[in-house]
Order: sequence, then C-alpha cells, then structure tokens
Amino acid sequence: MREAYDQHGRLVFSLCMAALSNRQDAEDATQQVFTRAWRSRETYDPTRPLGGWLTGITRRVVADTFAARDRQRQLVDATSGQHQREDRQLSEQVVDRVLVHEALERLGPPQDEILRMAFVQDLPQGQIAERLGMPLGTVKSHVHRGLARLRAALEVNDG
Amino acid sequence: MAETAERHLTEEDLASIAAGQAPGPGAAAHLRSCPDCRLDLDRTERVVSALAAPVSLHEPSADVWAGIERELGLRQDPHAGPGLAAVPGAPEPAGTSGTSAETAPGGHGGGGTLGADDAGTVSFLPRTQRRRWPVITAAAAAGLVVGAVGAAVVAGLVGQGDSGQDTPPQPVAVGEAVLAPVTERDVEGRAEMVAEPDGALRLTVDVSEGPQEGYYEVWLRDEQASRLISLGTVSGQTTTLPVPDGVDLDRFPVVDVSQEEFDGDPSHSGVTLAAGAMTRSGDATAG
Repeated sequence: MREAYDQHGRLVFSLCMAALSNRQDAEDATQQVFTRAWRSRETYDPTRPLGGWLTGITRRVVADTFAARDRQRQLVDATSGQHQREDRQLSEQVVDRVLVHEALERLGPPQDEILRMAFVQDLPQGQIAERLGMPLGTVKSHVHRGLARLRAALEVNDG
Repeated sequence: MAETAERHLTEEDLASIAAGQAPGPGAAAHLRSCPDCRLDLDRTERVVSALAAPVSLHEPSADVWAGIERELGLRQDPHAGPGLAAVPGAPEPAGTSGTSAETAPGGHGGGGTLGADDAGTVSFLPRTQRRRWPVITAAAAAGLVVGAVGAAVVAGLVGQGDSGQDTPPQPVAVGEAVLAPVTERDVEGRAEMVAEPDGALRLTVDVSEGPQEGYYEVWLRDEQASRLISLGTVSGQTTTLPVPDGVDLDRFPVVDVSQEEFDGDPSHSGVTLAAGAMTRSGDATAG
C-alpha cells in the first residue's frame, strides 16, 4: 500500500488538485482514493497498470466531491430557487495533462528538458541542439523516444 | 518522404505530424488503413497538446498518508511486504467517530488480531455466522418467551390470546446505533433494531440523505469491517429491513451504510457513508 502511495500519490493528488483547485479538498480526496483502493483491492486486476486503476478511482472520488459540493450549494441556494448543477468531473484533457507532465518528470534529464524545450517552449529542434551542444540527431532521438514513453503513460487513461 | 502505405509510421512521422506538419501522401494513405497507427498518432497528439498546456504537479503533504493509515488502521508493520495485498490490517471506518483523528496509530485493537490467513485476504464477503442467540435473550429478558423461531410464533399467538391483557404485543427494542458520517458527504443517521412479537428482528435505518446515484446498502459487521452481513438496500431515507434469525450481534455489532454502484458486485464497495456500533437495550445480553 505504501508502495502504491509512494509511486502514485503525486499523480492522484495532482489530479485532485487540478480538478478541485483546493488543497484541503484535494488532500481529503486523495486520502479517499487510497482508502477506497485498499478497501476494494479485490477488484484490482494486477495485469492492468495500477496507475490506471487509481486514476479511475480518482475520477469517481472527484465526481463525488463535486456532487457533495453541488448539494451543499443547493442547500444554500434553496431559498433563491437557483439550481446550477453542472456535472463537473475530471475531464479527459486534465487527466492527460497531469499524466503526461507527471511522466515527463520521471523521464529525467536530458530527455525531460528536451521535450520541454520542444513542446512547452516550442523551440525548433536545431535550436535545442545548439543550446545543449548536442548533435541534432541526438535531440531528435530523445524527442522521439520521449514522446513514445509519454504516449505509454497515456494508455493508463485509456483503460 | 518515402513512406509507403504498408509501412507503419515512424516515431519521426508521429512527432512531426503531431507537431502540426501535414503527413506525406504515403503516411496519409497508411493512416487511413492502419488503426494502430491512428491510435499512436492520436495519443502522440494528445501528448503534444498536454505538454503545451502547463499543469502543476503537487506532492501531497505527510498528513495525507497519515490519514490513510489512520483510516485503514494500517500499522507500521515490519513484516509488511511490498504491494497492495501484503499489508496486514483491516479496513476500519471507525465505528462512531467518523473520520476524526482521535484514533491512535495502530490502535483499533483488532488490527493485529487477524489470523495469518486473513492478512492478505481480508474479505468483504459475509462469512458463515456462528449461532448464538443474544438477541433472543434480549427479547426473553424483556418479557417475551421466545427461544427459537417456532417458539417465537407460538409466543406471539399466546401473547395475543392468553395473556389476558388488552394491549397487543409490541415490538421490543433490541438496540440502537447512531450512524456517524464517515465520508465528506456527511451522510448520517440512526438505526434501531426491534424484535417483533413473533420474534422476527427488524432494523429500521434513517439516513439524513438518500442516494443520489447508485444505492445504499445496510450491513451488520464487526469493528474491523472484515466480516459483514448484508441486510439489504436503502431506498429513500427510512427503510426497515429484516435481520436474519440467529445473527450474533456480539460478532456483528456495527451498523454500516455503504454507497454501492449498480455494478453487479455483491460485496461491500468499501465506501462506508455512515456507521456506528449498536447499543443494546437494557444491556440484557452483556457478556
């Protein structure tokens, strides 16, 4: 359990932060994700990535948290008769972003830095090579291998 | 470019197309016919657009892990091996304290009492219950002659016919429980168990809020939530459920209301909304 938490705590917490934008709520939600995971561990299929399973639980906890917030707001708004129930959840884009950036951090140097330069700062690869004093071919191959690894990280979001 | 329709896209193709360059004619033709490459390209595009959108990663504070340990009653066990299933301990929504922090780490008493067989497989499935009859004893102590189901029915009839009193037999309170909220949804409630004149036990559960999605299920369980008996589902805010004859309330003292999904999985979802230990009426069965 500790291992699962050490490996995926940041991912789960970052997902919760991205969705809930409130540290306390995100901490509560993260705690719920792992306690729920533990209690329903019999449903975990060990042949599947643990991160994907935890991401699925995170989605449900986030949805529950939004639902709880909505209900609270409804209580508050009950007198004004206003019901604003947008069904907010952890969107695919947000999950993608957190998964990708989390995996990016794990890539380690120099690949993470090269990918940042190429896709965050949008620098041409020739310029990256120049800056890092690396052959262009090396930069290219880091970009390609890095993208492939990040792509693999997304698979956990695709069930 | 020298792509042919038969060749899968290279990483270079994927990177350049995802970065916005038009695929060459060979790559375009191949993409039309190869779902694998389409998936790879789709994912690469998602990676590229995810990279372009900044997001901040956050490390959870140490409180979060402490909270998880506390809620699950996990102990800092030197024997604990790696992996999800190897940590001994019991799922433990504290009986009456919700998620509050009063519980000492490794406390709960029950955490260490699980047998070796239970360590990796703490089960949510109801086990066969041993047969003891404290509930019936409670009813008897309260003045009803019931010892077994058949006798209970007779007792009910006797009570109506021969007692010489005008008042029909009333259900006798067996116990009640305050159901403290466990999740931040703050569902709370109370439960009351009665023995009907015919000896049948019923549990009436009131919850502060009915299910918004999925459904609630009511359980009797032990403190560690390692053994559970499902009593049935809750619809609306007040539900009365039959309790199986012969249930040993010493072994299953806690009333637990869980959030369940329509997933066809009959076991406890692991999400306890509210729970509380039952206080027996009259304490007739203590010991």
